[in-house]
Amino acid sequence: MTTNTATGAVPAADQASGGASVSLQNLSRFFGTIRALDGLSLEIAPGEFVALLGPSGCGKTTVLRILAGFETADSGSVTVNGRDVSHVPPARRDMGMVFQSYSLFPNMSALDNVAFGLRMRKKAGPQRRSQAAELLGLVGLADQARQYPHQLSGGQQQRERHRRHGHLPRLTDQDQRPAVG
Amino acid sequence: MAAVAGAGSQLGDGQVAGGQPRGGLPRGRAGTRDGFTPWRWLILIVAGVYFLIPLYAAVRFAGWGSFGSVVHQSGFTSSLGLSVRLAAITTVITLVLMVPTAVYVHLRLPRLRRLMEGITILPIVIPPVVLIVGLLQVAPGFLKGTPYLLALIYVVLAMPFAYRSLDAGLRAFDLKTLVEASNSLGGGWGSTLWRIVLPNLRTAMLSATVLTVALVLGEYTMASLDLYQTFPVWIVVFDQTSGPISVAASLLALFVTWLFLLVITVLGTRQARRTGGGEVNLFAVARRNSGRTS
Repeated sequence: MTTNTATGAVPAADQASGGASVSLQNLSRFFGTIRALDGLSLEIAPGEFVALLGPSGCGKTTVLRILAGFETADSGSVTVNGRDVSHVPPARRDMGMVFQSYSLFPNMSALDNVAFGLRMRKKAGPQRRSQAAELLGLVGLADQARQYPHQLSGGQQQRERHRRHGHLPRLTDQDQRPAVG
Repeated sequence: MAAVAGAGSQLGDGQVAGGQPRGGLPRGRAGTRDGFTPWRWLILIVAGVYFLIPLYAAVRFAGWGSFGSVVHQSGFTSSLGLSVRLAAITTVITLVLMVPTAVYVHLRLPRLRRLMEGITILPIVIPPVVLIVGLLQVAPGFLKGTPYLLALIYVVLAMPFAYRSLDAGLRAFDLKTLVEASNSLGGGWGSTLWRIVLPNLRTAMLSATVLTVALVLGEYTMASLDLYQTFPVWIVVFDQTSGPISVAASLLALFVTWLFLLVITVLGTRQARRTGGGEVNLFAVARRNSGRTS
């Protein structure tokens, strides 16, 4: 990871409710002899919108995967809201990871996909469904609630993947993909 | 990306793939495939003749009357019952052991996939007689004389088929990403396995079940050496008293197995069509046609 990190202000109210302060200290990660990250430090204030830019293979995805908990750094630490989460499993980090590839659950309808995260966070059924419907409505997919992912267009799938995370801080891994929603 | 329902089927090695090429993911010579239609018909006819002539001969030999009297023969119900029970036990043990193993290997030990393929193929390479004689030597006492020993042997025999169909099923969707997506949404291991992995592995589990059941219902060597009168063993024993009726029994077993396979395939395909999943084929599950990248 080199220094081409762009930091900008929050563009919309979209991020406002999911604010969390994130601090990466001196992260290093090696894959064999390949140096993916070498002493990366980054401070992100609550509500801040940060984009990591760089050529393929420079470690952008690795940063996100370490932040979401799918990889562990060889050294350094990850702090969210003042708490060291370096060894917290992904399921308990409350970090929404929007994947580069299509990652909607093919066995669930659009509504159930969005409701899955709420279900995992022990929201009650009726509340869960109304909240999921509301989130789908925000991206104009209210009419597609009963459709399965394969019946949605690429852009619709992408918007839905964003909505799955509700108001959690979102990590979006996008590779040459037009931003939608 | 491709939103066409009903993915093209992706069959195992050496089989002629049917259906249309997958949407979105261009396949090698997909465009020229239609040109081979006459050849496909020829192969189908040759294969059909090869399989149907012996069946026809068997039906002729047995005579229609034998089919009616089969069910009244002594030992028919008990041996068929034993075979069905063994099939059920074997399938349950196989799925309980193989599904988590295959999922774990795919997620955590992808480099062992080749090795697993090699290991799981061993029961086909080792002659059944060697397996059963060896197993009877080392089998623990409490299992001897129970059908569970035979079921455990069948689990080993079914392993190549069960593992291969599960493996194919796991390759048919992006397991790693879906599991990570579930984790990132707060799903622990239990709920990820139950709500994400198993539903997407449904068709593959059905294929594994089909193959396991078919194997158990037709297995002779192990059962006879372990002194159990399963349905195939009964047929062979019965053959010594009445040829036509035992042939009728074999045909009956064949048709019952086919019927069973048909029901499972139809059920599996219907479910898959609803959610855009793959079709059930014996060794492979067609890839879901949700495009992956760009």
